[in-house]
Amino acid sequence: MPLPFEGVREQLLRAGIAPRHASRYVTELREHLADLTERQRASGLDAAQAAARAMALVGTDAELAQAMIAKDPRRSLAARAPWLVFTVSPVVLWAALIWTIDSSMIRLLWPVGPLTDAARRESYLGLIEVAGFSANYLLGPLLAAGCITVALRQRLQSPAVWVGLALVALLSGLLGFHMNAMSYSAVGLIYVDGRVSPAATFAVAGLRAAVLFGFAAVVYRTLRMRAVPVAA
Amino acid sequence: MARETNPNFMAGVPELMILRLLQNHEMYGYEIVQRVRAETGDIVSLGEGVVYTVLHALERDGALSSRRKAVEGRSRIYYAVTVAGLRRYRDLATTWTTLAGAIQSVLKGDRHAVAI
Repeated sequence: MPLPFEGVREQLLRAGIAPRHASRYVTELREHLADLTERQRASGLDAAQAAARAMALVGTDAELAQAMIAKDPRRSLAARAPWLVFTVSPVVLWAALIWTIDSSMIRLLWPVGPLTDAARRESYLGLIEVAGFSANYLLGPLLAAGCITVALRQRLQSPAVWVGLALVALLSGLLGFHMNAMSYSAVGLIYVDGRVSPAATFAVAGLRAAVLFGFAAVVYRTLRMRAVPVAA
Repeated sequence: MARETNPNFMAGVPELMILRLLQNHEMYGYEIVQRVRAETGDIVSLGEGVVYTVLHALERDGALSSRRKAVEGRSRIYYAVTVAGLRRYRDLATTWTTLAGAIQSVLKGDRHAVAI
């Protein structure tokens, strides 16, 4: 049996009310219902009668949701500007994260100087490998997961979500982040260079984009279909 | 059956009552509904669930602040009036006092007319 007022939450989210406001309203309603039920019990009603009476006093899901939407319509940014959130933000975020990884690696390695310790040199080279792998293979899926999470939390049906997922897949498929590391072990130097350039071949790029988009689409569709239906 | 309220006449009243009650000490939603009912002798009753829409709107406007507090094993959200809320209360109270005075004088005028 679903918890009380889940229908209110669904209606608020579908109306674009920000998830945290919807959650808070539902939490307060549940607390209120518990207090009212206790009062009904104290007046002599049995548990079932008290619960039914308290529920009737609070109101129906539709009434409560409508009251909130009319009086306090704090809509989330994702509901107000889905194209900004799902298409512009991932691109900006992708560029910002690539820049952060690149500049962090350069700042980390710049002051190191000659590395005579072979073990230390190997650990730095390993770090460069991890940074390159993260930028190329983790960033895309993470951004896609972020888009899906925001869309599901807000129960959004906007085409902007699909466009956003396609954009993230294309971006991380077509553009590769190349972090070159050359170790001059004779003098103990590491040369590091990070840049964004087209992926090796069109076929590889297309395949990477298609795999990411396909996976993201299946996850998004499956989770969206599992969303709680609005109570009649 | 939900308790009936008189929405047309009540416009603005929930805000006024809430801002007045919360000046004494912070309260949570259920407590506010009970206090309004008790203090008005059951003449004014806020909708049980709808009180939160008023509280949230007042908080959004900066008239109230809120904090979560655990009391007797329950986590409740307590509301308190802010400085902006006090100003808003004074404006509302002035409006209502003026309105009530105007209505009163009309009613008194009716009585005089009948007496004459």
